[in-house]
Amino acid sequence: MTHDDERDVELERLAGRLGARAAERLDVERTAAAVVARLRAERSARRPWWVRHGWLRAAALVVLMVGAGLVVRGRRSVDRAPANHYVREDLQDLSADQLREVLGDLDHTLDDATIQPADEDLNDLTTEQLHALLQSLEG
Amino acid sequence: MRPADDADLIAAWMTGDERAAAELVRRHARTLARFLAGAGAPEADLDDLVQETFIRAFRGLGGFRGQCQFRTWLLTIGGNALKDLGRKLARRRIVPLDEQVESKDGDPHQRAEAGETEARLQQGLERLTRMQREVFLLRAQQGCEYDDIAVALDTTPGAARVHYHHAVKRLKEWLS
Repeated sequence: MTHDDERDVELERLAGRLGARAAERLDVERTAAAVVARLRAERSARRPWWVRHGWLRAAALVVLMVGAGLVVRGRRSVDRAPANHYVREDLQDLSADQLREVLGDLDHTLDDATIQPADEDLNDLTTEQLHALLQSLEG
Repeated sequence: MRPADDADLIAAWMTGDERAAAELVRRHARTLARFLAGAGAPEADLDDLVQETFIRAFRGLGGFRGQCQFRTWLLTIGGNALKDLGRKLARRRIVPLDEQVESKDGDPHQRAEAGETEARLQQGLERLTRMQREVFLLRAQQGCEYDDIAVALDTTPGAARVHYHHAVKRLKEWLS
């Protein structure tokens, strides 16, 4: 080994020791805990503010459920409205004979116990009375 | 059961396992501290610098594809953190950058403890360019391969060899 090679080896040996004492004084466990705590804080800060609080999540869920319930109820009532309107409008266009025919059909299809007017003689009723009777059946 | 390697720990941390992150810190903190101290970090700032380096590394893990060893990659991030500390201290105008970060004098007691030759080597390192200093430390102090050093420092293995050669030449001149 030449003198120059020896100096290279000595230099690398010295470099290997450089900073060793300072590194030995480092409290590795404390450093690891501090790094993990900072990482946890960063992750938490990146989440939306409402996700960070449990009670806000629960409140948001309740609001969503109530809102969804209201929407469903609203849809149902909207679905019913055109049917009612359709029957009433149709009644206006029917003649007395046609109205009697409709009531006669109802007499056959509906339960006798719940439909009292079907027991009466439909032929004795006026057109206005027949309209009133059908509308009352419509509810 | 074999101990988890760095890649396993990185993958575990990416899924949120904090124990994996803590293990990576335990595994590499002293090596990093040695590198930073060798590169001229003031001992008073060493703990903060080590923490800051790990935080930056964990933030940047999404871009780490295992192109070099995690340790080598981490050490170069430490070099950047040290440079940024130097800039911050320079802005505060406490003392000039070179004197503060590269700590030519340092604590006299520490210097005495470190030994005269080591102190001379430290002074010699402070006279190198940043690239020469980092290549020298990664190679001579940490035993990294040139290929790894080149990837971590975004240069070629040939250029890394040249930087190392110049660093050794200048240090030998300084020490003789």
